[in-house]
Amino acid sequence: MDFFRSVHSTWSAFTSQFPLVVRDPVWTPDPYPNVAILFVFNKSANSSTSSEVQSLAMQSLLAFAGYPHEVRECHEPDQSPSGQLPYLLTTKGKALAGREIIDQVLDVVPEFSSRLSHLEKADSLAFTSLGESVLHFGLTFDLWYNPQNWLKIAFPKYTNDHPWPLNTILPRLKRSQQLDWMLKQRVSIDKEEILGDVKAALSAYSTQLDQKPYLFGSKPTLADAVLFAYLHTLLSTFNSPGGGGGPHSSVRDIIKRHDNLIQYSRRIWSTWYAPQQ
Amino acid sequence: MEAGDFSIPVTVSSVKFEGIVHTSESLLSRHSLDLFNLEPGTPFGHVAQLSHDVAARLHRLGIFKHVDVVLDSSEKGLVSVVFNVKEVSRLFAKTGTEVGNNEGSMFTSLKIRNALGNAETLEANVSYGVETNTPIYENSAFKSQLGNSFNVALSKPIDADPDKLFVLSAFKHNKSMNLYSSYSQQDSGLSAKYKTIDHVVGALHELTYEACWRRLFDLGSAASMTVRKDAGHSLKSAVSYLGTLDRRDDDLLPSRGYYLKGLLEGAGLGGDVRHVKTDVEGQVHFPLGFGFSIASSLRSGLLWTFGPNQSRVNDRFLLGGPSSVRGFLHNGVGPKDGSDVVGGDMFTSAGISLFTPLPFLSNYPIKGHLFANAGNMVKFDNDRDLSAASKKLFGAFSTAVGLGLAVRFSILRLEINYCLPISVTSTDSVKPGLQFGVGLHFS
Repeated sequence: MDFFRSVHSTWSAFTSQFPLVVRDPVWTPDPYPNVAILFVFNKSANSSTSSEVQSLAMQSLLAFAGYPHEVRECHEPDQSPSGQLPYLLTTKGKALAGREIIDQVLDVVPEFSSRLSHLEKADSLAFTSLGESVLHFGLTFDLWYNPQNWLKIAFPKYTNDHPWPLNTILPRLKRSQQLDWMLKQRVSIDKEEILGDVKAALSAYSTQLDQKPYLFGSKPTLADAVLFAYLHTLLSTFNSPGGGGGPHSSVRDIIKRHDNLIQYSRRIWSTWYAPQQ
Repeated sequence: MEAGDFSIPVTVSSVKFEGIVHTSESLLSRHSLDLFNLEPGTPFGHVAQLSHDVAARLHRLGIFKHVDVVLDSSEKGLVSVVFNVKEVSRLFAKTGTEVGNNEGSMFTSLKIRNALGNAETLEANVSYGVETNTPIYENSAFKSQLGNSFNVALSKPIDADPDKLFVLSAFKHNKSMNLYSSYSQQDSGLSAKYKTIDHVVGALHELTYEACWRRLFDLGSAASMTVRKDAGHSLKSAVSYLGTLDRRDDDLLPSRGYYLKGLLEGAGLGGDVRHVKTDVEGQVHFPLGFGFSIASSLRSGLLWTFGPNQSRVNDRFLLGGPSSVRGFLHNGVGPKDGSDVVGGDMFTSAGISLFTPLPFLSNYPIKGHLFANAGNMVKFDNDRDLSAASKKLFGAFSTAVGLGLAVRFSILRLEINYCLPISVTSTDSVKPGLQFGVGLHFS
């Protein structure tokens, strides 16, 4: 037994010298970014805002919070860990998506949420959820469910980044996913019911906003990021007055009844996104 | 028959096929043509040889269980050639499991042979597999990745010639690369392939057009940016040529002969993938006598993209493992970003092995095996400097030596080697000690 142990230890001592040479890698990847990068869906033409509402909401959140970052365009949601844009690449090389981005912002900029009282935080959460559910459903109904809007507005947004025939297949797959999502939220797609919910939500927003610069005072919050994203997307995407056969948004018509919401959206855009003169 | 009978001049009066059920007349006529075209008074031996060749060609179509030839001479000077055949059953189904070094899979295959009577084959295959990051014989925790594959193919000999095959296929493959590279891949596409054997050197030639919709997805939060920026959808539309010349005495454990393979692929006929890719391989085996033989191999490849974009991770080469560069894990040689294998645009690998007979086992397909092998792989930087990349490629190699056993089974080769890595890079995945290799093709 001792003999075998000594042979084994001699052999182990010999093999531990291998490999004899360890060289530097043949290729070095790009280093982690110096500042976090927010990858958003393609921006609108001649604009600094993303043309997709979830990307614009995160873009606004990071801007409002003063989170150090740069914004880059991306048209592939598969690059995101969640499979949906936007995603945030941190300076440590980790990719975050969805709620993880919000948590990251609140960790790095804790004062962003601390400016609200407990009651305001609860209200802010409620208004955020209102936008992400009711306004999102209304936008999806106008953009993806309406056949003319889908063809004239949604389809061109998603068709330019891939070669034929992917540029016709992928937008249709996306539409199918959006309609599936809608049918999972509601048993049937009832226009009056949807618009009724949107009316109620926008009234609540309008009442909360009143004449203040932002929903909860003089500083923007997460709820403002979400509300602005939906208002700006709906107001800027559907520009035609309707009735002439062009793309038309019923949700946009409801927004236009609330002058303070329109002013609010314009004010945020000119403060945070308009090109500096 | 006596020796002089083969020179008797005869004329082929008829060609008959007995046992035909589904095979079409046009296919049989095509194969009979050579016999009918013989000059009257052709020596009997020549007729017999040609009949034998036709029988062999018919058998190679894969639609007959056996093809027997009878030369019937009822009248002096006239010969009737009769082919007695038994057709294979049209429907063929097969299920099975395959086990490799780090992987296992189960498959189901359904084939309709001689579907329309002209030796067409319609085949559908489904397989499911799992691959682990440690060999199945090691009693330790392991990670695994799944994959599945579906393929439907219609093949038809051109002009009833078994040496000229046209294959049309549709496929969908799903494979998880999470063990190596933090992503999953889904490929769906169509391909049209022309396969032929040339009768000059006996090489197999394949010309293929393939349109493949690829999707890289399922990236975790820790996936590297090199992999992440290639995620999403891409369309590869490519023409490729594959030439293979195999003159080895055995394709699993050869002791003499040579093997040459060359692949050239050009992508860019539509789609958004534009590159030229080439991969060449050569092996030479020399017998040294008394059961000893030396095998040497050399393989190299280059992927060159056109346009502003770099190559994609799912197009690049992978290197390393028990059947390519021994002493390293599967895909363990070459560039990495963090823990992700990102593949390379240029590679070279070479190896030399000495196979020895074993005492008391010289009549069995098992050999002693001593080897030394090396490989290197580089990825182009943004400037795509071929000269600088070549210097890096040939400047230093990841190398390993070792010894072990090589065993030939009827359907695969098994190697068990003790490996010692000599020179590595800090990002190589090294496998010192015992390494098992199971497969059909070894460098």
